[in-house]
This record gives sequence, C-alpha cells and structure tokens, in this order.
Amino acid sequence: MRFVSLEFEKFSQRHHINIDEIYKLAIIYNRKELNRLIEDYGIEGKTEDKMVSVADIIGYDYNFGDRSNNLIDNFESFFCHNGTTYQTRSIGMLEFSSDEVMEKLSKSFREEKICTLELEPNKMIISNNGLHRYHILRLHYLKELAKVKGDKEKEEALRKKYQIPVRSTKIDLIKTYCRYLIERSSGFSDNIQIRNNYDQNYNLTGKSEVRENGNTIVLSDSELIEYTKSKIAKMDQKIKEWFNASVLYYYQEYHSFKEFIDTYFSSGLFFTNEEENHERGR
Amino acid sequence: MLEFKLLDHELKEEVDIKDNSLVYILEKDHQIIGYGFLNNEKENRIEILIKDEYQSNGYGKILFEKMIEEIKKIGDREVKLTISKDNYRIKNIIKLFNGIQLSNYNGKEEYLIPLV
Repeated sequence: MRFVSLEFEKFSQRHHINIDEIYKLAIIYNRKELNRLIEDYGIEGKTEDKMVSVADIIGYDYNFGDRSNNLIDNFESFFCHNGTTYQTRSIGMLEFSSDEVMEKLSKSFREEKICTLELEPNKMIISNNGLHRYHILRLHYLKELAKVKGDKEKEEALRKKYQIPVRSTKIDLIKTYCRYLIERSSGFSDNIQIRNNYDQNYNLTGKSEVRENGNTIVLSDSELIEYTKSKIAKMDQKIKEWFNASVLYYYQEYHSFKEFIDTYFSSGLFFTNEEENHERGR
Repeated sequence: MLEFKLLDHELKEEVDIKDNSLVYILEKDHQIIGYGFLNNEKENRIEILIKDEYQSNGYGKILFEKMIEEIKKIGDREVKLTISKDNYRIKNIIKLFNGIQLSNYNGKEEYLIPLV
C-alpha cells in the first residue's frame, strides 16, 4: 500500500480513485526531461490564447522546493488544510467531482488564465500559473482515463471533455536549435548571444538578434540558419568530433531536433556517412 | 493597513543591499513584510523580497506594483530584471505586468517590462 498525504487520501476516497493505479499514470515531466536543448537554449516564441487538452499538459518544472516527479507525491505542497496560504487557498477545489470540475473552474479559466509552455506540438507543461488547477484537472482526467484505456474512441472523447482555455507560449524551435548549434560550435564562448528581436512596441518581430563581440545583427529565420551553417563551417577543428557527437546524440534523442536537422541542414555537415546513413534509414 | 515607504534608517535585519540601491519597505500594522530594492543596475533594476511568513498572500504583487510606480516617477521607460529560472512566483508577477523574456543563460532569465 502506497503512503500518501492525508489530503490526497481524502481526495482519493471522495472521488473513488485507485491510488496504486493512478500513481503510475501521475508521473510528470519537467522541461529538462522532455527536451534538454529547450531547457538550456530555449527561446520563447509567440504567446496566444487557445484551447488545449489536459491530456497534452504532461508536467511542469517541478524541481523547486521538495517536489518530485509525481502529482500525488506533490499534492500536499499544493493542498493542505493546515498548511500555508499557498496550500489552503485552493482547498475548495478538492470537492469537485469529475462531472462538475470543468464547469466549476470555468470562471477561473477566464479570470486567471492557466499558462502553458508548448515545447513541441501537443507537448506542454504548466509555465507560470495554474499549478493548483492542473493537479485537480489532471488527476480527474487520469482517473477517467484509467477506466477507458485502450478504447480509442472513449480516450478521444475524454481528451475533448478536458479541453481548457490557456495562455500558451510556444518555444521557437528554429531559434532554439540554431542557438544550440551556434553556441556549441563556438565552444561555449561568452562572446556570442542569440535572443529574440522586439520592435519599438515590444512585440516579437519573428527575427533574432545575434550579439557577438559587442556587435548586434538582426536575422530572419532563414538568415539565422545560414549564419548557423557558416559558424559550423568555421568551427575550431579541435572540437569538431565532440560537437558532432553531441549533435548525433540529440538527433537520436529528440524527434523535433531530427526534423530540424533533416529539413535545414545538408548531409555531411555533422555526421560521417556511416552514422548519417544509419540514422537516416538508408 | 499596508504602508509602502522609502527606508530612511539603517536596516536591523540581514538583507543583502547593493551599493547605491534605494530600499523601500512594505509594512502591515507597522511590521515589515517585505523589501523592494531599486538598484543602480540597468540589467537588474528591481528586486523584491517578501519575508517567508508573509508569502503567498499577494503581497509580492502589491510590492512589485509599488516599485513599478516609483520607477515611472523617476522617468524610466522600461525595467529590466534578472531572476532565477526556478522563481515561479516572481515570473508570474512579471508576466502580469506584461514582462517579456529577453534571454535565459546559466540558470538565469532576463526580463523586460515596458512602462509605456
């Protein structure tokens, strides 16, 4: 029998949750676990209000305080009758059943937007607001998912049922991955920085600013890619093997990075023919 | 009752103050609940600190708002600040004030809050 907080025990009894069953489903991921390149080099893109499914919000950056990678283990740090204001302020949510939770929280969705970070398509984490609600919604979703798992139609219906409005910021993967390649190929020089470019009204222009040795240039995505290639071509040969090994590792690790490399970079730039042929399925 | 004012005496508590920083305090019923620092650093203009026992009560947002008002009085058109990337509470406050992330390096994130 798994040890859980008193608050979660009451919650699970109230809503007929099988703790052992849901514990396995309640694992969450942080940014670093989902994509190390985004953790280290992430550049944020546009923010927009949109509808997403709780099914696609698979965690948050839990590595603060005493939190771990499971919603149930972390439950008490968000909900505790005898705790701090942070732990007591949302206790009322624990009463909501699976049938009513969406309706009961609907006003809060409008008035205090849940904020997400979209790392890759349909792969999101909670960013800076909505952790309490996320726990409740995700646990109700998982409870219902456990009952219908394997039935594709019912799983899809559940995805739709748990659609919520969020304010979502997308990671700009082109800029992020270019940044990784540029900084890595420069041997982690402090003299080069890549960041978003903003107009005079502080709106994203879609371009990047590359600051190198005190000089700043503004580049479109296509120009940034060409700039990246030129940086790789000029790379110190002493670090090339190490650089290629790093790129190959992440090429194998992250589908979105593989897509990025396959789309924008020609063969031969990183891999030996043997490695490339193997990875590209030839 | 909440009061916000410039600290005009020496701090008795151990709080890290940068040179040439102005220190403001947020008080409730004559008890200091937090500090606001207006720094002379372009890249990190504001810092706030709410005492542990007063956290999670919305005081951070109030104090931040007061600090923004002070900066506007000085005539700054934007505020830059650098925070730890794990500091979700201040990130939430920054986003409420339409802050935009400029960069993230070495575990720190740099934000800009336009004031016009």
